[in-house]
Amino acid sequence: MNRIQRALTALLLGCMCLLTACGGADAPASTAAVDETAAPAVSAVPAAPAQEQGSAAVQADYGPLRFTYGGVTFGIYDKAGPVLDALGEPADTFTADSCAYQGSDYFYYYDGIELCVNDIDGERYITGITLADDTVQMPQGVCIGMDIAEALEKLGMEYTQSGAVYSFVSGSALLHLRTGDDGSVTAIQYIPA
Amino acid sequence: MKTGKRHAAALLAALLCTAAAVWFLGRLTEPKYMSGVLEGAMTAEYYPEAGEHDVIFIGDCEVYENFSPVAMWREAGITSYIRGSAQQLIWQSYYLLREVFREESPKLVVYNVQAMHYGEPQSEAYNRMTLDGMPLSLNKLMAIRDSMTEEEEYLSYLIPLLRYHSRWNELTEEDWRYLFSRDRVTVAGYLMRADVKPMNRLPSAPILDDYAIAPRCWDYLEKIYRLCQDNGARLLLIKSSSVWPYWYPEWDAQFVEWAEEHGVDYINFLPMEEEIGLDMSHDTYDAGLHLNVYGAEKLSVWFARLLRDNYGISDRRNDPETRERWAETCARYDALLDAQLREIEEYGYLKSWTLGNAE
Repeated sequence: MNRIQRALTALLLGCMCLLTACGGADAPASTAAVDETAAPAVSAVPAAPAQEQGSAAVQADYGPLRFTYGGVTFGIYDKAGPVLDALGEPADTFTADSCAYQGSDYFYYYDGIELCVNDIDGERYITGITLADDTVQMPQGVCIGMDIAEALEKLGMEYTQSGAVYSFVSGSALLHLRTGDDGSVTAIQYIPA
Repeated sequence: MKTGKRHAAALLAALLCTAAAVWFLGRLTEPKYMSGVLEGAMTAEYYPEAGEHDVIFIGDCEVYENFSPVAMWREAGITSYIRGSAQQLIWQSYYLLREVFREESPKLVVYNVQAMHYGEPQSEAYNRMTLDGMPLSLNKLMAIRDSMTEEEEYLSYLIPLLRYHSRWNELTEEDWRYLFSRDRVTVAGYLMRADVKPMNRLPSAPILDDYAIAPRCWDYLEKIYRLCQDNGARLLLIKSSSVWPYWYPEWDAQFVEWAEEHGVDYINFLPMEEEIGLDMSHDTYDAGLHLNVYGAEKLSVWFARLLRDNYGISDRRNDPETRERWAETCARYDALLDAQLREIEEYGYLKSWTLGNAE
C-alpha cells in the first residue's frame, strides 16, 4: 500500500471502530491471497466469532469401536500423525480438495483398509476407517462377507437399522455395517458419531 | 427556525456521510476473490454478460469446471453461460435462475443435481461466495433467508462491513485495486484449469445413514421445473462427469424416477465416459473431482452435439452480432489458456489461478 492508501486506511479504521464498536477484537482467518505454501483450507470469509475463540479440540472416545491394524490400535478422532507414523508408508494416497479450498479429505490406503484424515482446528485427526476387503477384520472378529446375524452377535452392541445399514455408536465413534441382498456384510466403516 | 433548519441539515449530512462511509468500508473490506479463491467472484460476473444465451447451466463446481461454453460455441454455435458457484445449493440455484429469467430467455436450463444431497445450509464461506455477488433484489433477500446457517446474521449480507470489518488488518493491494471494479475470472462462467493430475485409486464409498434426497430439495427442484415452464424453457437434469464425491446408485434412481414423473430428461454422464472420450489419466486436474480444460472441452463438444441434434438448440454463428461477441469471448478463452500453459511451463504448476503449489 502506498502512503495515501495507508493514511486513508487509518482514517477509515477510526470511522470503522466508531461505527461497529468492535475495535478489531476479532482475529480473522486467513485470506484468499496467493500463498505458495498454502494449506488447503482457506477462506476469504473471516471465521465466525465462535470459531475464532477456538472450539474445544475433538476428543477420541471410541470405546469398543477401536480398530487394530498391524499391531497399532486407533480410532476415530485419534491424532493422525502418530497413527500414520506407526502404520508406516501407505500403499497409496488420495486427496479430495473441496471446491474453493474449503478443506480437504486425505485418504491413506493400506492393504485391506483406508484411513480418512481431516484438519480440525489446525490438527489432523483420523475421521474415517474403512475396511476395503475381507483380508482384515475388526477386533471383534467381524469382516466383510460375514453373515450379518453372526456380525451382530460378535459385536454384542445396541444398534439401529436403516434399510441395509446397521449403525453402532460408542462415544465419538459411529460404526456402519452395510449388507447386501444375501444378508452378508458388504462394507464396514468407522466415522465420527 | 434558522437554527432548527441548520441542525436538521447537519444531521442529514452526518447521516449521509455515515451511510457513505459504511458503504465504502464495506466495499473495501469485502473479499475480492481476484486471486487464489476465485469462485467468490463468479456470481457477479453474469450480470454484465446476460442477454442472449440459449442455454443456461446452473449448479456447483461440476458445471463451472466441467463445461466450456466456448467449446460448445465452436462445435455447434450454441450460446451458453454457466451460472455456477462453489457448493451451490439448490435453493440458491433457484434464486439465481429467477434472476436469469429476469435478464434473458434461455431455451434450455441445465441443472446439475450433485448438490441436491445437501438438505440443509452447509457453510457460510460458500454462502458468501454465491450470494454476495447478487445485486440487491427480492431474489437476493430470499436467497439469503433460505441459505443462512444458524450462526449467520441476515443484516451482515446487506451491510458487508458488519461481517468483514475484521479484515481491516489483512487489507492488501488487491483490496484497493479492485475496490470499484473487478477482473473477470471466468469465461462465460467457465473456470478454466489447464493443469493435469491423473486420477488413481478412489476411496471406497462412504456408507450413509439415509440415501433419501431431502424433501426440501425436491420442493426446490419442483420450483425450478415450474419456473422453467412459466418462462418457456426446457429443463434438463444432469449428473456431470466428476467421479468423486461418490455418486450413489440410490441417489441416481431417485432422479430417474423424478424425471420420468415430470417428463424431464436426466442424463448421468458417469457411465458415458468412454462414449464422451474422457480419459481420467489426463482430463482432470485434481484426480477425478473436476475436469481440466481438456476434459471440459471433450464433454462440451459431446454435449453440444446432443443439444443440437436432440434439443433443437440453434447454431448462432450466422448472426454477425453474436459471432462478434463470441469472437471476443473465444479470444479471452484462448489467451487465458495460453497464459495458464505458460505458467505451468515456467513453474510446473498453476500459480496465479490457485493458492499455489499444494503438492
